[in-house]
Amino acid sequence: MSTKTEEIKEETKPKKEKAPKEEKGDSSKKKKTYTVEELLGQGERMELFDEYGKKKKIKVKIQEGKLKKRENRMGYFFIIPYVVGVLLCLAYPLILSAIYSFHFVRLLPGGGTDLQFKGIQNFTRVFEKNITLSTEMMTLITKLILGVPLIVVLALIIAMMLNMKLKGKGIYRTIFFLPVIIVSGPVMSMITSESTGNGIQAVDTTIIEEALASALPLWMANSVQWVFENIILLLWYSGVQILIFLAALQKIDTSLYEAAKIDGGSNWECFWKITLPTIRPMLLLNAIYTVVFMSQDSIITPIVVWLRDAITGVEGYGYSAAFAWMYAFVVLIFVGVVALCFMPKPDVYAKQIKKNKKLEKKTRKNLAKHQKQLVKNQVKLQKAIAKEEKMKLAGKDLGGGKYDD
Amino acid sequence: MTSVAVSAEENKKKEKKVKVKQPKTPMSKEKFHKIMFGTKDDMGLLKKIVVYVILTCVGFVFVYPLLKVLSMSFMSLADLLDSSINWIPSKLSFENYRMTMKAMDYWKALKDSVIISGLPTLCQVVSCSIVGYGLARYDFKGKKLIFGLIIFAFVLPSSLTLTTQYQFYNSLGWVGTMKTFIIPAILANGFKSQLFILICWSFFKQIPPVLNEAASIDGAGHFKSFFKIALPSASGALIVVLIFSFVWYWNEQYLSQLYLYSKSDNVGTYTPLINQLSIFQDVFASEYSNADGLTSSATINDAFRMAATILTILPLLIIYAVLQKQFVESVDRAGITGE
Repeated sequence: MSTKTEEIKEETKPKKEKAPKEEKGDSSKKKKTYTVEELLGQGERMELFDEYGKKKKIKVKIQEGKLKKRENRMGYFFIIPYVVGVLLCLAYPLILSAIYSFHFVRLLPGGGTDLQFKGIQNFTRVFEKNITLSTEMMTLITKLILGVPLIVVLALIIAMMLNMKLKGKGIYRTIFFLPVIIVSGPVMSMITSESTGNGIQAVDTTIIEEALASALPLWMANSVQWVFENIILLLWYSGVQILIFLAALQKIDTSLYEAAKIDGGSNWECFWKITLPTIRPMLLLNAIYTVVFMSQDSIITPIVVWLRDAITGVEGYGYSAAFAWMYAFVVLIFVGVVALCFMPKPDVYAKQIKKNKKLEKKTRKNLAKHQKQLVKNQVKLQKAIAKEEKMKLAGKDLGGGKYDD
Repeated sequence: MTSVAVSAEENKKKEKKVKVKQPKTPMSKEKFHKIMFGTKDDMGLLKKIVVYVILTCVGFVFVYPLLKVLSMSFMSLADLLDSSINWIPSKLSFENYRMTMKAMDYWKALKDSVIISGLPTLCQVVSCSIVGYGLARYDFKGKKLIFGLIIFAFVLPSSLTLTTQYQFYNSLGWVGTMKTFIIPAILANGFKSQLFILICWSFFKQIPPVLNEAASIDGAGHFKSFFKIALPSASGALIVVLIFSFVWYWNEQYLSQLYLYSKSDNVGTYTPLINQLSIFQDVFASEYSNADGLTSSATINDAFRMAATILTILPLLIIYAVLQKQFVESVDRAGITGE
């Protein structure tokens, strides 16, 4: 915001005041500068740029108030705890575990560690130890591919319903925020445990499962089957997402809808043209949150449990670090893909503006070139005139048509 | 599909009309349509009913596990085995709860749980609100970097740093004490702190800067305006962070087992409820087989486990019930996230 206004201000400011200053600043090259008006008589705007088409530096830099600057410095004070925390609790362990993953780590009794470089042996050992790892990874990815859109869409639908004008809104909301408490806790594991597990199956899915099993490869069939079996589980997992969507929906300006309806838009169109684009960043957030949550949940994938066992296991820190890095790598790649899918595209106007800017830059460059040429010509011309005048003064008339060509 | 249903509905209505011998104000087709399907601004009756039905169904799915666990926890063994009893136990047997509480050493575990989730939560609320305020109000160099860090840390699987973090804490001699929970929380790097920072940031960002300016004209410093203006107007954020943080710390079984148990004797200085629950089966068996010998009827069954579950999350439910109004409102008013 502030930079924009500064730019505008800077344009409207009387230029003649600043221009000489600028020239002084640039005078290190000891070249006479020509303003565009002098040479071409074109728009005033060009004065903002020097002879090479670059933006004049002095003009762009508007000094911030000293008070503001000093105040903003206080911001560092407020975030010091976080920076320290990141260095201690995130960066240091992260780097250490990256180092560990390539070493055999032995803890010395004095509290030190003994590192033995092993190359990628740790990583290969992960595969040797967990034979089903790659299958489980594929299963997890399929589960994510199926589960994430399902959860996000369900959460969006429920959030939109909750956002309507209903009676008993408060009760519904209280109920729908309840999973925040339940899901992360022991109730889930109790419910999904053997004895009560049969209770939460939504429908009898054996027929679908059989059809799927015959049509798809095993790991894929398994996970599709899993989605059908656990559709209610997935619904429970959408508690936080509902919360986030609801918050986003409430922020949408209602006048937008009114305007759209006056223009004849139906509810359906309103959803696609107003609601969805507005909450698009929330879609991204929710999708990423779901991926992160699901990949850390021991009900969804056994890899989490293996990871935890690896830490306390006999294989040592190097092995567990390698395992964790591999898993993190897969998850991060998936998050990256999701982020790319849901990333809000720059809208048409922004694109147009960008295009125009590019065009402007190009023309400015050409203009600068042209201008340079002109300057050269002018200098030549002036020299020629000066020469001629000199000659005239000297009284040596060599004929007037010499510089006509 | 819907059009068929519509026509059927209309036909029914028409028939009714005939039977009632023309009601006093004859309902035109358009008006009927309007009431049933609504106009652009107003939802129709039919749509409303559908929405209510769906919401109630989904809502039921959401409370279902809780209800199921609750009802099972009251059942006696006979009720559990009786297939005709599905939801309502034949008689409320509080015996389950009494025995479970004894086995879990409930009051001590409750105290431990409150300590190990309460203290870090308080630290986290303070630190996250401070950091969030710093990010929301001030414009300093490197702000984007900090945001990048926060998001990166949010996405990073926690298992990545678990090993080395443990080792690091161990080398500092923190393992087995509360420091492993509190110090990261003070440094705004506790359990899911990144999310809380983002929540606080989005709330503080909504405070008009004019307020701060006015305060500074009146002589308030940075901290005074933080405590007197920012914090009170973002109390919603604090409640959201409080609830989330408390719940997540409460339910964090793995970390508390890792950090609060000293390695040598495998006895935790703190044994929160959630850990009691995870070892409940063994504890229960040892408690009752030793005490009562063979005569004990209390072999472990689902009812006891469910009772233990309920006892574990009961404090959370109570807190949620107390703060629920503010919680829902704060979500309503400002939203828990930024743009």
